[in-house]
Amino acid sequence: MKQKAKEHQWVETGYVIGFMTNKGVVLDLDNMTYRSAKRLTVNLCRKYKLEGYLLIRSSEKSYHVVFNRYLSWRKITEIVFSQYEVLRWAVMQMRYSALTIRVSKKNGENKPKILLKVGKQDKLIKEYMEIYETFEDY
Amino acid sequence: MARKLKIYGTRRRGHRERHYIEKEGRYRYYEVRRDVKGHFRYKKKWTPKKPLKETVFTETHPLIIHYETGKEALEKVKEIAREWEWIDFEAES
Repeated sequence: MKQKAKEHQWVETGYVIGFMTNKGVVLDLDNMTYRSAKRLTVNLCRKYKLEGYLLIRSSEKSYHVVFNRYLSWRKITEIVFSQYEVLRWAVMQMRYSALTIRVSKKNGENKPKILLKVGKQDKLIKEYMEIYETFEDY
Repeated sequence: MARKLKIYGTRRRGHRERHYIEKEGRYRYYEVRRDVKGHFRYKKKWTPKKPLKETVFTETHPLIIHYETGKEALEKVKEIAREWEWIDFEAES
């Protein structure tokens, strides 16, 4: 039986800080199990030679992925729109010509937690980690 | 491209104030924004465009911050977050 999708949680209290980039691929995987999120990440990393990845749990059944390699905006959109699971999120991101993932808590809970670090981490992952560590208390 | 951060949430843009217009000899409503200390920032013509409350105006579009280092980002975020009044609301969907 197919599980019911989790309802979107809006920002209802305070503010949220997001990491924005148009230099590499970051993904927001909602309503997904850990296994399927990891499978999608590994497949993308291999297919496009993205050097390394960071798998982050943003809330229950929601994950963020940051890939290490710098790419052109054309290539980024090609990769993002090739994935059915992130299509809706990707369309919303096009409004600002950059991809955004949350680095702070939302409504006072669910601080993103890093689960996996694989491969090289000297480019986009380094930039992300700098912001993640700076806003550790947020 | 400089590195960017996005701050989003619902923030109070301004409130309604009644100002006397000498030229016209009557009062008009204006949307006025004041900072945390109550100092005047700007005013614009008031329109009754479905605000959260009749006298409170909100904005939801994100604020974008440019930064070079993590330390600079933290300072800018603190400064901008302090400048605005962030309000709580219950989402309908």
